[in-house]
Amino acid sequence: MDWAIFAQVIANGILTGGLYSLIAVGLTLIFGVMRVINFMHGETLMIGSYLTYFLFTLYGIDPFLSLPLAIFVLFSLGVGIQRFFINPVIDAPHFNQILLTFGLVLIIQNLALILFTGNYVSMTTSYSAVSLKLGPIRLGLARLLGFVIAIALTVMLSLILKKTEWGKAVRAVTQDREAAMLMGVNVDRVNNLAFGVGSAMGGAAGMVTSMIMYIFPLVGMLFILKAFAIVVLGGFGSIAGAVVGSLILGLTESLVTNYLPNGSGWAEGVSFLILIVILIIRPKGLFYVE
Amino acid sequence: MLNRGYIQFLALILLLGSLALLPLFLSQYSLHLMILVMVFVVISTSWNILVWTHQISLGHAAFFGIGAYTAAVVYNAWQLPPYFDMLLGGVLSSVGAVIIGVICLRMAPWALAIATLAFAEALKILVIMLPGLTEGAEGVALPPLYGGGESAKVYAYYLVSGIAFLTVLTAFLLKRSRLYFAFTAVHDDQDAASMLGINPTKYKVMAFTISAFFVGIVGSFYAHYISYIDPHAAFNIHISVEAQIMPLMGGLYTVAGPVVGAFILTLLGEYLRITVKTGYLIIYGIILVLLIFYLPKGLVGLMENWTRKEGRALSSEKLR
Amino acid sequence: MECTGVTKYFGGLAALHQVDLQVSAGEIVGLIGPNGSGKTTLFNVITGLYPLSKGSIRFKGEEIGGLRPFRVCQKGIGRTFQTSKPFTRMTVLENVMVGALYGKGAAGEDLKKARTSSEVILEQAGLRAKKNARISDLTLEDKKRLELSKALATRPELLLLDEVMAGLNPTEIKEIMGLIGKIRQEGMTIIVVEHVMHAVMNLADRVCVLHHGEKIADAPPEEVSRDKRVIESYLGEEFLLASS
Repeated sequence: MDWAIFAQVIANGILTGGLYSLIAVGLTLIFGVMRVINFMHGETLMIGSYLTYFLFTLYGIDPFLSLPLAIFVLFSLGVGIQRFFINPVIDAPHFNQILLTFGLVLIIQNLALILFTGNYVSMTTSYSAVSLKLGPIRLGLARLLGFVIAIALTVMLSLILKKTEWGKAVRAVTQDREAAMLMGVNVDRVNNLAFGVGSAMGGAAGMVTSMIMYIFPLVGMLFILKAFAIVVLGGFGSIAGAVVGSLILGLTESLVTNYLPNGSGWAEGVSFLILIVILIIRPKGLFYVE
Repeated sequence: MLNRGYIQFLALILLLGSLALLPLFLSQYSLHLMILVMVFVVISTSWNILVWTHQISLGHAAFFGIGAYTAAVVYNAWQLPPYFDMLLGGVLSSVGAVIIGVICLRMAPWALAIATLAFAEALKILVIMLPGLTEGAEGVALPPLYGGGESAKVYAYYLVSGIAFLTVLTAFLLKRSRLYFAFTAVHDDQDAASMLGINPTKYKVMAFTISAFFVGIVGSFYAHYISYIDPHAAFNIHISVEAQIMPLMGGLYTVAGPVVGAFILTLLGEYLRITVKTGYLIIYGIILVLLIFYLPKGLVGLMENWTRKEGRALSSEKLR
Repeated sequence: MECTGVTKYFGGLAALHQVDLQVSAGEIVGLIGPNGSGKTTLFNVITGLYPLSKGSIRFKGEEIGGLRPFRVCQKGIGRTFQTSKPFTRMTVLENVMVGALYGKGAAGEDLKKARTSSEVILEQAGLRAKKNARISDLTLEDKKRLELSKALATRPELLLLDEVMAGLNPTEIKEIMGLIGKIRQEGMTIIVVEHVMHAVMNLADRVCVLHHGEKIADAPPEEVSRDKRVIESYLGEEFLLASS
């Protein structure tokens, strides 16, 4: 048993898990507050990636500097989409919601296809090729920084949820919407902000992925199913669950990629396996929030 | 009343007649288009049946793919006659449906939606990762149906039209049968239904099975017809998406709805694919959003509003 | 029907604890108790909607505890829900037809027969005029009648009525009481859960009282209305004593 390799595998898994958590946390926040399955969450990542990419290649702006912009843009976009598209169907049967967000996905993805063409693009920044050595482990600097961003944003979100007025309102609505309404919480505003924040985190995830992998219009699809698997695993509405679930998925994929023959192919299937297994044995997830 | 029924019947005969005579007038390309239309008539009608029990499948392509790969694998292994492959494709799809149906029994609609989506994607990965059985990502070639000459398309057209006719007939008979009461009861309120003697499991799984069967058959047909199948084509998410948009556009709880939707959207899709090329799916997205907002009853529902029917409410449905 | 030692736990809480209940054919038994005493839970357990934690339930000599709801229905037990659950995509008549098509002994029933027998039931329940109406057009009382009709269409021998009079005005209550009386005359055995006291006291041969999941009384109405423990359990609630 080569411990050095094992340590590397674990490290990779954790870093990947960190990235996944950025996406998953946004998704679970939206579901917790609005009980809407947001299929277009993956597209927020895609938009964030392209935004970062263009700012870098056209204006030379370092991705880390464009992070706040990505967050802001996606936040506004999220609020806008919530108000005009999601809110009208928020009490409609699930069927309508599912198809609506699906329709939005088609629109956004294809808009990107038309505007940016289907070509795969990538960025090379000054630190793309740099990696740090930590004992026997090599950590790509870009991925490491991405992981740090993920932690920072998740911590910030938790603080916001704990300390601010809005955060408390979010937690109230997540636990019991009716009661929160009766207590005077402006649910519409909570919804808007939740969708905005969730999308913003997706955008941040996009910024991170732009540093470490290819960018293309359909990239959202790659992540959305994994995000669903994580959110189902961790429990809809639970931030902690999303984080834990992301780490579990990241680690499992890393282990499978390295230790199973043809592992990289099978690794894609891990999320589906988790999804189906959890939906059968414990559909509410690990950290279910009522 | 008698008059209108008579006219409807006449219209139907006229429609079927013209469909039957089409090959005489159409070019090879147009015939190919009509074959595609028929394929989607089967898929959209089948998907619709599942919705009658409030089960929304986002991964119907899974059943299409099962059918397609059954044909490919079985034919290349044993050279059985294509009709047999198709039947087998249907049967295996039904088996898959029973499996996923039972797995999803207690799930809320959104969970079922995600689970079926995952099912389709998982099958795709499975096919890619087992090249020993399925040639993996490279895909499988099959000899062309009916020899591939000029008349091959005509025969293929009649075959798939026959399948489509059977599917629509099944939906039609189902809707007027006792089963539809069970389906609708389960759709509206499972607990109340079970208190009236209906076993929700039985009917939900039954709907799944029926829904998958014809899709499997037509998947096998498609593999033979195109004479090639690969994982991305067989389990393509667009198949699943169109399976939903077509009935939604045409009218979810009707029999004619999915058919109308299939005709319009297949032809529209082809037109767009040729003229606009990239990103034409954006139109689908826009249509979907507009439908949800403005036309939840679909086109057939709209028509029924104009010619108000009374009596059986189950025949003119509102999207609940 | 015989319930012995029926116990139902939700998590650590006993919603029902060692409840014994006997009902003989042709009786009307009232089941009362303050909110949360377990009345609806008992119905849910009998009809199989919730599994039994402990105890046994026998119907006509057969053990039915643990059977799934649709089987319980097919054994001959029908039930209405506290908040009516009509099938909104169907008309009134079609709602009742579901019961006729799938209730006890319905195997092979065809649509025509189901339609006629459902119309008869609607006639009985006073809903014939509205047989083609949509659910959204119904008043509360109509919905209660519909709920009753659906259950009746399954040809039950034992009928469980869960607060079928809740929310009705005095005239409507009287009408429903009359309906129940008629059904009983045709030989039905009924268990009635109600908060409308005078209705229960008038209709029932016997009244059982639940409190915190336990049975605290089981006697003819006049005795129960004088039982100290029963009165105490209702302390603080509106309590209409049986008048005439």
